[in-house]
Amino acid sequence: MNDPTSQNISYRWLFAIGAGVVLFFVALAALYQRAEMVSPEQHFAYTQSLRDLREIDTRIESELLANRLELSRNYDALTRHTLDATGLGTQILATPTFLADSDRETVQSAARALQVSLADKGDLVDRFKRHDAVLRNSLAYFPVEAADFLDHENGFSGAGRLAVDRYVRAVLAFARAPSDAGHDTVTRAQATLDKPGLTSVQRLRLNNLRQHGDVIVAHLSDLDQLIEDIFTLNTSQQIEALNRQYATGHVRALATADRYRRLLYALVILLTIYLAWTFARLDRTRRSLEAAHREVSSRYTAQLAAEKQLKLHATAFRSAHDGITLTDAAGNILDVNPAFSRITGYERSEVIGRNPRVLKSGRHDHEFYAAMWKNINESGSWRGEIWNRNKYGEIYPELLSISAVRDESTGQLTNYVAVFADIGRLKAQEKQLTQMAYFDALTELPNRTLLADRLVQGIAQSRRSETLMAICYLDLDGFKPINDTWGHDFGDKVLIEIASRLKEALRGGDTVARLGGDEFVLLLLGLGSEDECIAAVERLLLEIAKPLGCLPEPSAVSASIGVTLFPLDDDDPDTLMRHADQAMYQAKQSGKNGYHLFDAEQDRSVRTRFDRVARIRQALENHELLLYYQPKVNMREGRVIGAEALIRWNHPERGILPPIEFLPLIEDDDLIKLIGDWVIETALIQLEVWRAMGLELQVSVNVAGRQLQAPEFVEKLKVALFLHPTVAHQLELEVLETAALEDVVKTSRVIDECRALGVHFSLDDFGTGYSSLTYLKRLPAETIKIDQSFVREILSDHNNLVIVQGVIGLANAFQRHIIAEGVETAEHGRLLMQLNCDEAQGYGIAKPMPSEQLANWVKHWQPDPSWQGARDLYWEDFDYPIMIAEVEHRNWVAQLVYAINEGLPPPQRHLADPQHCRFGLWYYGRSRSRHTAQPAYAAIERPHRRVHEVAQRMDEHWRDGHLDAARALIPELLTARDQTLDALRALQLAVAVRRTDDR
Amino acid sequence: MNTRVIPILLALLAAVAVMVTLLWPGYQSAPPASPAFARTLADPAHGREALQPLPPVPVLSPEKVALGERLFFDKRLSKDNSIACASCHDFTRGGSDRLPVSIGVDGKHGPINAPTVFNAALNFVQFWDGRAASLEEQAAGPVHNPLEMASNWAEVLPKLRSDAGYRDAFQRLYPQQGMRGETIVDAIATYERTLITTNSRFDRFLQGEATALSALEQNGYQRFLDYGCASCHQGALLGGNMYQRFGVMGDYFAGRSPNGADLGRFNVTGRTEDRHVFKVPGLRNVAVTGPYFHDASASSLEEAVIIMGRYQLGRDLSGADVASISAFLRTLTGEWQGRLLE
Repeated sequence: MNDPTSQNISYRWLFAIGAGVVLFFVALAALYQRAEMVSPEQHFAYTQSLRDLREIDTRIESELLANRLELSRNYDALTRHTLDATGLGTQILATPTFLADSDRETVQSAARALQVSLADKGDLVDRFKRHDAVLRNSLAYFPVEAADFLDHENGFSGAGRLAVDRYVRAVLAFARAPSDAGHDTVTRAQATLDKPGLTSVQRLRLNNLRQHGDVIVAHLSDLDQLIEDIFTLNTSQQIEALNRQYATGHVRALATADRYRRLLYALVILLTIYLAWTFARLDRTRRSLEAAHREVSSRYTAQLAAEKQLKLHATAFRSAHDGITLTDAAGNILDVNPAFSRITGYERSEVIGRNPRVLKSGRHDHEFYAAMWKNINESGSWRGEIWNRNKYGEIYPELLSISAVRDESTGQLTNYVAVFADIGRLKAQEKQLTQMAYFDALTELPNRTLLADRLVQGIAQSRRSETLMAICYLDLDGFKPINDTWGHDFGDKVLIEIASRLKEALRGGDTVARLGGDEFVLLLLGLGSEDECIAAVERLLLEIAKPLGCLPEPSAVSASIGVTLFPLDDDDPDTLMRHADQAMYQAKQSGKNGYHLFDAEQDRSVRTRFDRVARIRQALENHELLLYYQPKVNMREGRVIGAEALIRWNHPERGILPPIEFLPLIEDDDLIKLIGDWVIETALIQLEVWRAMGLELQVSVNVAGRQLQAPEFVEKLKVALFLHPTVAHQLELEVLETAALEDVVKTSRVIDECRALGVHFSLDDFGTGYSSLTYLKRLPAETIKIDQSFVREILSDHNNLVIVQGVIGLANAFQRHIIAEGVETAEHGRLLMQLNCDEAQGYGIAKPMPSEQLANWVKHWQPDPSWQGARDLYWEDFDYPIMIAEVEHRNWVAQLVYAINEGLPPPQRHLADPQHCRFGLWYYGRSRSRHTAQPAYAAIERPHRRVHEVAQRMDEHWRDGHLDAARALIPELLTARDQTLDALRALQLAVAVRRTDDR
Repeated sequence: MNTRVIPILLALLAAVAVMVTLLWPGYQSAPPASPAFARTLADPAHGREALQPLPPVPVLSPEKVALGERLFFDKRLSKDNSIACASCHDFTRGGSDRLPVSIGVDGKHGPINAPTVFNAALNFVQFWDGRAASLEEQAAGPVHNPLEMASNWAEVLPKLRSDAGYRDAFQRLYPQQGMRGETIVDAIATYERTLITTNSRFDRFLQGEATALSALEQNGYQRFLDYGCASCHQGALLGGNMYQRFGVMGDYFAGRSPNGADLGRFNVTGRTEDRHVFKVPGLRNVAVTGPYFHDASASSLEEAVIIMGRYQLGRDLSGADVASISAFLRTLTGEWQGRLLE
């Protein structure tokens, strides 16, 4: 409305509307006035006046007659009525205003005429009064005076007297009935009155009489004339006429008013209808306005929400960890997010307008891309893993989703959105996991699990192809001396070398797996005959016997191989393995570096399962079973705390057999309980013996699940303890975590009951079962034994380190005692101490030994000096990364050494860069702010750099093909590694908290 | 209920109200009775005898009466604030001045004898010649008469308006007209309507008190009727309701030098027959309102009776007649505010 013209127009409109309204109301008021013009008050007043006038007029006339006839002797009423009539005569001139003009004219003229008549009448009445009064006086006086005159004037002559008498009579007769004849008679009689001879008094009286007589005669006729005149005025008729005319006018005015009233009524109805219509329209307008308002506000809200969402999307786009690529329909890049740049190395400006195919790695063929595009065009999206190449030429896997964006209305393809995540690390982890699950970490050969799988497959395949499959159980001869002589590292190297030789010796479908230690199993498939198998086995023996290259001195190992042939030995996989194992044992027995073929026929006839159980039972009865004891120590305190009793079978033919050789056979047999009882009894006796010798130790014995859950177990234990009261408190029971979990309720009850007897429990092999918090909570065992499979690897595998660390944390949280099994070296022990696990057992401390040796061992045992150094030191959780870094560094070097030894390419990237190995990442990243103040921290850098320099040189040699030169650097590398680790250890000691008040 | 219906309903209600207001007929209200009709209804059975008792003092608005009374005695109605109504209508002199002619401002002499103000309301017209149809018309007359008060409303009103009492009274009693000539004379006339002298001995006689009149007076009354005096002097006022020629039975003005006032009603109508015609004066309080006739030619009651007998009745009254009639006339003196007029 800023336009002045429109404003003018609106003012003009307003003015017009205002004028219209005013006019309308004026018209309405005029109509109302016209309709109401016939005022009933006015009408009644006027008709009342007319009625009064008629009444009064009648009264005037009746009063007139009453006075004339002497019925009334005063004029009060007549006078008053006359005044009233005159007043009313004036009053009726004011005709009601509602009369129509013509009617008013008529009525008014009639009223004027009437008024004139009334005024005339008033005049006449006045004159009547005057004449009547005079006449009345004379009429009263005349007869009295006449009689008096006639009676008392005695001197009057007879003729005169007669004349007077005649005159008097004539006058009186005239007075009674006036007539012309009477008038003449009076005149004639009067003429005779003039007689001479009267006295002056008589003459005077006579004249007086005659004067009155004249008055009577004259006034009587005047009076009658006046009355006639009055009646002739005929005012009553005039009044009637006026009344009629007025009534006509009134009716007409009423009719007119009625017309106006109808008009007014119609107008009001029209106005009402208009009002109703206006309200309806207003209401409609209001509703439509409301609707419009609602729509606008909802649109506004929607827009706000959309803006908010847009912002959110933009934020999501910018901050997403996944790379996002937005292209047009032709595939040209419109926009990319920061994550895109981070992953691909390309800046946003470099790729805008280009096609994403710049990222192609070349790893996928044309068909791959064709299928991908087909999928996108058909289903609108594609998702999958794809290899791409970054700006620096590095190839990386990514998880890519491509979606086609179509216009909602037209369905036209407008854009593509690609979202991708760098899954390089994921891939690596996946591979590592698979490796861990199925492959032996050291040799990268399939482990026992994968072997079981391959075995099942091999069985199926052999059945299908109707060929033979050889299951070869291979154990190295003379490996232990290598280990003892050169250390485990060299032992590992030997194993790795042997493994690779085995791998090379096999054909495609064959499998070589490492079971652990120096035990390998080979599956040779598709053999046509036993001879072919023997040939293969002999070839393997030759391969193994070759000199070892990985040792500082030339050396060689041999192997004993036990072979069984499927399906000649048609049994389940476990049995096949056992047969092969037995055959290998036979081979060893036969002098090593040879093989033994399992004789299925013989075995079936002699060694039935029943026989074997019976043989074990016999062993128990023949006292062939015995207990070895493996010491447990507190490394921190350098104290022997006890020993674990471990069963051995002193087999007359096979020598000392570990429990794995026979206990699995009787696990489901009641014999296991008998053996269990024997173990407890034997251990208690042994405790008494040692006690007698002055050696006081805790001894723990293993309890099988079946034994533990036997109803009589606790009772039997009570009896046993009762028989050996002095050592009862030294007994501990160990139950396998897996066994305990078979029936948690029962196990926990038994544990509780045993505790009541003073016998403590350990959960053995902890970590192999479902070591869930819930179960741990419900099993009231005091001690947790970390399974050796984890402990053994903590130095080389940081995953195991983390697991061990977790178990220790768990035990602390539940306030359980913790002890580590499988401590194979002093290093293990040291690391465990750093993880706050002080108690340990394992080869690194002592192997299981006959009871008679134990006392001596205890007497001479000295804890490792490195343990002593850490005696008072404690490490917090947040220092664990230092331990992990140690493990990782050792591992890193081991991998490199292995690769160089094997002639493989160095497995790591960034060999030259000390910052990119895992140790470097820890050193330069996570730990820097934490430890930078420590002098020991700075000291680590130099040896670590040195490691990388050596590694770089080795890599260069390797690239140049100088493998020997590279290998020659290994000792230098190891030295640098040890220096690094020493420096690291110094840091570890430096960060440790010294506490002596404790324990 | 839907709120949107409300305005429409309101509009309909308003329309209905408008229609009802416009169309509601006024016929239901009773028509007021007209004054004439009311008087007719109120008219008592009218006496047919010649002489009638005085009607009672009418009940009128006391405030208006008080205002009229104050005005009646207010000399500011005259030019020089020397003369009030009451100057010539002296209540101690029977409501007249007992002078042949009244004396106006500056001692000027009026043309005619002033009649009494008592019972003047009952006259059918005012002044000797009947030139005023009402008391109101009459009251304005002396104010403007140069021989009497010699003033006019334009002079009088400012003087009266300076009086807060008048202002308030007029404001209250005449809220629409206020103080003006009409309202002044209305108030005066209202007051004058209360100046009725009741309870005369004759009235008491008429009302049945036989001993109210002595034998002589009763004799006079009878002669008054018999001799025809009551032909003209009839009604409640014993006159005041008709005109009559002075000298019906003889030329009263013969041998005199008649002045303008002597022409009587001729001065009003101009008709020859109205020469020497005067309003018949009422005889109430006649004994205290001498001298008599328009020209004050009779100084005593007896003289007036004799002249009346001769010129109006055409008879010479005897001494006894005159004595008794005069005695009767003296019984017509009434009371004002409980006191007999003197």
